[in-house]
Amino acid sequence: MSDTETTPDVSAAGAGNDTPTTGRAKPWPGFFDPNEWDKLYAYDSNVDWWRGDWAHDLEHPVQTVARAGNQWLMPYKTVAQNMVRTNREQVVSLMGALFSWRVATVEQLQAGLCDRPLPDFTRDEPTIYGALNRLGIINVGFSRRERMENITIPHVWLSVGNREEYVKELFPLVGAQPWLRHVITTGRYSSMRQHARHNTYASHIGLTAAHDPRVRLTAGDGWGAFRLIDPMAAQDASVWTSSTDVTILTKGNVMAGIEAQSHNNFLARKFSNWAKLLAASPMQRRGLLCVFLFFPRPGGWRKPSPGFFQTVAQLPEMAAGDPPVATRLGYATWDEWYDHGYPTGRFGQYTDMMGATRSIFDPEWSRYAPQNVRDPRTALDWGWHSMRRQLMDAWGWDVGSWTFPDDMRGGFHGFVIPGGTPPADGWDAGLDNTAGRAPDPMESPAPMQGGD
Amino acid sequence: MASTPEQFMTVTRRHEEARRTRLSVLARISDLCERGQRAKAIPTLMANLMADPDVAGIHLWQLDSAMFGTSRYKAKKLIREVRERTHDTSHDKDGTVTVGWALDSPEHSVRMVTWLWLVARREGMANITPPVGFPYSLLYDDVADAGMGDWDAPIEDDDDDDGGDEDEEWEPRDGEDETV
Repeated sequence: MSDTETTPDVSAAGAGNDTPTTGRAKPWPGFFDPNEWDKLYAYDSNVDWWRGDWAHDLEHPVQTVARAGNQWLMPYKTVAQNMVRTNREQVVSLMGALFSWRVATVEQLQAGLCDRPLPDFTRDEPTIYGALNRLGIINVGFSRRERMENITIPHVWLSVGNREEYVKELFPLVGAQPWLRHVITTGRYSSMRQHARHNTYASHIGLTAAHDPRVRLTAGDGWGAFRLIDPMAAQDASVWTSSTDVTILTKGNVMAGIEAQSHNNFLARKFSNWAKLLAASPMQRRGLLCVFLFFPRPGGWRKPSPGFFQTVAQLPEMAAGDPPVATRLGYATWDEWYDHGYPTGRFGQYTDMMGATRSIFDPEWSRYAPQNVRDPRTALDWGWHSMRRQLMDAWGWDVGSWTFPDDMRGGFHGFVIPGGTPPADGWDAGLDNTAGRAPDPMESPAPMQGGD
Repeated sequence: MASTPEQFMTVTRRHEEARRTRLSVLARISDLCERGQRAKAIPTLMANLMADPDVAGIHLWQLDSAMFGTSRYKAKKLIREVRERTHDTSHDKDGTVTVGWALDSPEHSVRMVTWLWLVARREGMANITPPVGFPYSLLYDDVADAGMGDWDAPIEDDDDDDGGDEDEEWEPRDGEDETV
């Protein structure tokens, strides 16, 4: 890999909008630098949230909307519900993205974290965002600078609503969506926290991966649980309830966990958990690596002392495995991966626990990484596979030659599969079996071999 | 042109034969279910359908009733759900849709699949839940729920906000020295 900057994937919409300081084209539409604290989070690391449950319970919504600047909120619930029904697939994609990335700005979602196109956030008329907020399904956040300085910041943050019973009201409006129901009704939803600043950084990392041709898929915090990535290792290492911020599956079939870290609290425990997980997860099973990416915070950030990393390097797990855990665990800094938010040629590089410089994209990892990893797009019809199998069990009849209902396909909206701007009808458009015929469950989709 | 009495009798006899065929198949299916062999009900139906097209005239509500003793009202309600989910625009009434209606073309076979699914779900025989280890189990073959932990346990939130000003010192494991 050359040590030049990553070639930006610039859409027509973003081309030519050079930043005043760098003079470079934006790597994706709506690009901004999450490190610009004074512009984004000047007073805190969070934003002012219009919580969905508050909007849901408004007694006088029309009065609220009538105030200047509040016109984005939809005051009428029935109209909001109709908007959601009419834009069902868009809403499901948005919710999938928010469950994955927890918090993201509208531009970040539009730039690729959401796998369907989304509208802009307009403040002078209600859009789908205002409808979802009114129904209690999402929260909408604005920079605190708006309130304190009486200005308008163009970025608007979104996250999943706080009240589970209101979020569940989504289902009658959008249909089955079993995976979404599963997320909301299991511990994954209750675990969700909203850390606007931290997650804006994490979303930025996700977008970088989403526009990197060396990446196969990326996912956010919501799908970063150790037990999902490698359940056997998570159980063996007793780290069943731990998770990572961003996962990146490379074309070399390396699964990299990225920990976006702005402080040193719990750092020792995190390194220890990762060391245990990596020791219990052979490279051949998941190709698992971990990079702690340290990013600065207002008020000063102290990188861990060299003594800290020396201690990590002496953990008993470091020598485990081939290649050893010490080569699969490392750290990098924001300034190494980004220059004013622009990905550098060192995106993916890290210093391992032996002091060597490596990258999650190093071709040598392919020798150790798993060889058979399915194409995530062809795995989206898991629902049909499951239906066919269960109907066979229940009725003794193979219905594989018949047509399956679209809303039971299964699907999933939480992986970001690189390819630039998502197509208008989603990543799953144009797949085989769009006629609704379930594939033979005995015939798995051709696995992807490691390497390009 | 009005039919002759002979033609009328022929048609009437023909209808009666078809009706008896359908009742016979339903009775056989009901018997299978009573003897705990419900898994043979649909294969029996399909085998008879291929042998005798009159079987296509069995109403779906009758089939539901024969297998599970479902009331006509409840059976029709489920058929209504099938039609809504499949965006059916045919003009048949819920109580008159048949096996033939559910399978009258490859495209319309979605009706039969949906009906079978909703009946199975109603009776607790099927349910769509994401597979164990979802979503990464979509990518890898080696995920099996062999006595693993609670998949629904809350995920630890390691204080992902900007944290405090104090470093947390390295907590030594047993026998290790503090280093930071």
